[in-house]
Amino acid sequence: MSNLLPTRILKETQRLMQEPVPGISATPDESNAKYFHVMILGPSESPYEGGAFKLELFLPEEYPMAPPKVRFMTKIYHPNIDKLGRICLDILKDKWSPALQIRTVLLSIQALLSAPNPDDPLDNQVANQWKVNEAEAIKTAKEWTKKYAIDSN
Amino acid sequence: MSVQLNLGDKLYINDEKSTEDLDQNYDDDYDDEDDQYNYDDDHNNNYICDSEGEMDDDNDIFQIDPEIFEYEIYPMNKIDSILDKKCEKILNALNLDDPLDSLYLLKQFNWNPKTLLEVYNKDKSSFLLTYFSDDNNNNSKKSSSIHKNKLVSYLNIYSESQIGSRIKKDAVKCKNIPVESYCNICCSSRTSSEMLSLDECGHLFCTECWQMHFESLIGNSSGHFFECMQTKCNVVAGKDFVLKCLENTDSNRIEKYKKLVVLDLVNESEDLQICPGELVIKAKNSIPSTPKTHVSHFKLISTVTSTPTVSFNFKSTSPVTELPQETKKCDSIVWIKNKPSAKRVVCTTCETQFCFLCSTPYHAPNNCSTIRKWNLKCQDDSETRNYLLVHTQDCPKCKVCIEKNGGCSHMTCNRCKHEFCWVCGNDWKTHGPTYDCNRYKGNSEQDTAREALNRYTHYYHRWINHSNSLKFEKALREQCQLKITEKIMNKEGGTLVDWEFLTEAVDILTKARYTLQYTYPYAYYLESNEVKMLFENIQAELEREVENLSHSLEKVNLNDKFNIKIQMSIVEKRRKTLLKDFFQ
Ligand SMILES: [Zn+2]
Ligand SMILES: [Zn+2]
Ligand SMILES: [Zn+2]
Ligand SMILES: [Zn+2]
Ligand SMILES: [Zn+2]
Ligand SMILES: [Zn+2]
Repeated sequence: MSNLLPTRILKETQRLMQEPVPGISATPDESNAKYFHVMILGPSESPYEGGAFKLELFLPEEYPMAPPKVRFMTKIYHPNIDKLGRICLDILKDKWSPALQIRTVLLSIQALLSAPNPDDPLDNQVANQWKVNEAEAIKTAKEWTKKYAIDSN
Repeated sequence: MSVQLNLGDKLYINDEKSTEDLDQNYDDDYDDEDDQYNYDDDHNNNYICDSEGEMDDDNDIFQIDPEIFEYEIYPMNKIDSILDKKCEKILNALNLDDPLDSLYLLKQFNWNPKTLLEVYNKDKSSFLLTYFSDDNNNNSKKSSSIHKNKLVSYLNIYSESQIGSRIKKDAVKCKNIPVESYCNICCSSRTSSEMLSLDECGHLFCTECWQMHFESLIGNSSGHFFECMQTKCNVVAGKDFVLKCLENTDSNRIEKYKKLVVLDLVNESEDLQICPGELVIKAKNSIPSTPKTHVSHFKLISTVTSTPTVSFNFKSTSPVTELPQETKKCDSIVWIKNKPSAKRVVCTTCETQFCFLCSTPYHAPNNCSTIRKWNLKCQDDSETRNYLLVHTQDCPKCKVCIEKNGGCSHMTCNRCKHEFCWVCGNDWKTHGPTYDCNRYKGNSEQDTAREALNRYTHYYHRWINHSNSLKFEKALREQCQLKITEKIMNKEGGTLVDWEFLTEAVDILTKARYTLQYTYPYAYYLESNEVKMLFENIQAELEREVENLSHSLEKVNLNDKFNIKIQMSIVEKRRKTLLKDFFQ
């Protein structure tokens, strides 16, 4: 299986393991080298601080010509992430470029946690709450972080 | 297929000879601007008299048919010759040398030479100033190596065109590539000959990666302009670069790419459209269609003085059994000669009839959005309508139907790249955080559901009824041919010339009933006021005459010829009157 793996994916995996990005870990699945178990730590000074968020990342057959598929496994209260953990991020859709990497994608997701963008919402309810009453929304996000991303780990 | 409805459209078949004829015609059209249909004065006078004076005059038949529409049909792979003709026309009319200038100008006028020349002829000097002042020219030439790429992309799609051969091609070349190179996409070492970049940005990647990149985009894109692989590099690769990278790709995918190029050009051109029809490529055990009867085949002399009766038995015309057929998209290109409008096009390749603007079945007197609403409504009982309501929306800018394929409300139209909000439909850019797009915008109408349904049923019932009758008339037409032949061969009476009017009558009936069918959705959406009452009067008149003629044709007798002829001309007049306003 790994013999058939493109050089590109091999090199990316090696680098992810050898020089991990602070606050992010990505480990390929033992049986499927295109499936990654990802953990992103909530950035400091964000409502997600202290939380550890599990994600799954899958490289489709066409990768790197097509973007990786990424999804939050841990429940999270965020205007750009919906109930199923799907992420509204341009580089995962039409702004994807083959020159981007797993590393850059995960960094962008980390940045999205620091700076939620309610004007480009995926979950309208959450986004509305964020716009109408930001303090309340941040409070809910903190509660969810405590409930799903700290205690259960 | 042998049966060709004569719909009164000036139709040109695209064989070599008639194309040349047509060029002549096309030229003429530009010269006499006022007299756009080239009808002679007599007919015009008649038209004016009729509209003021009384009805039922035999001259009515000469009233200009508002449905007339001129166009040519080309196979998709002849698109290069269309662009050639347009450029040639502009180069000659404006006395220009550089073919690139004609491309640039045409693009500014939605690739419609007719509108371009109209503007030009109105004020030649200011036109030239606007488009060719030094300022403009320098600007456009400087800022537009990209521009040029995009223009040249439309040349030589299937074959080297005349214009294409006159424009110097910038060979796909790369300067100063290190002998030992490394491609960041596949993470492999490459030799310089294996590396390629676009001139405008110079981002080097290996040809294999370029190829995979484009192959992937061809499968998922609705346009043919693809961006460079580098992150945030918006430089666009034109057709020639893409095709160079696709040298080792299978021919199907290359064809698909060429089709994307054509679709882009057609989308940008207001005088072009793609036929939405299907062509049968392999029919298993196809039943031969009714043999063609043609006037010149019969030189029978009438010897019978009795008046034979031709009767049509609808039940015996079983529809041709549907056999499994292999079809492909027709994809012929329609090039219109008049102003773009919601008029009828009949494809000469696949015989599909459709509206030039929206490519759905021809729908006068409705405009395109009304008939779309209506068709959605008619699918009400199925889940489709709900699905469309929930999952699709028209782009607020170009009105193309967009399917929502994710949860995100930030929509980008594939066709015109307009960005808008899914929830409120407003431009995304003006859509700040303060904008409230969650407010419920329901209508407060007290229309009870049942009342609305009853109203709808009234119109729908009549719509469907005419649609069914139309199917009979198709059979009637075929039977008509058979019966005429039979009668004449059996020497039962009459000559072909005597019976000929029947075929014409069925044509007129079909055309009028088609219009009648489409008056129902139109009336459904009309507000109840005087205009509607007036319309429904005209509609009722047309309906009555159509039913009269239809009835007369069911059991026809040679003695009826004169009466039927009168009925025919009344039906024609009613149809023209009804459509006149719509096409004004
Ligand atoms: Zn490469
Ligand atoms: Zn580039
Ligand atoms: Zn066709
Ligand atoms: Zn239409
Ligand atoms: Zn659009
Ligand atoms: Zn909105």
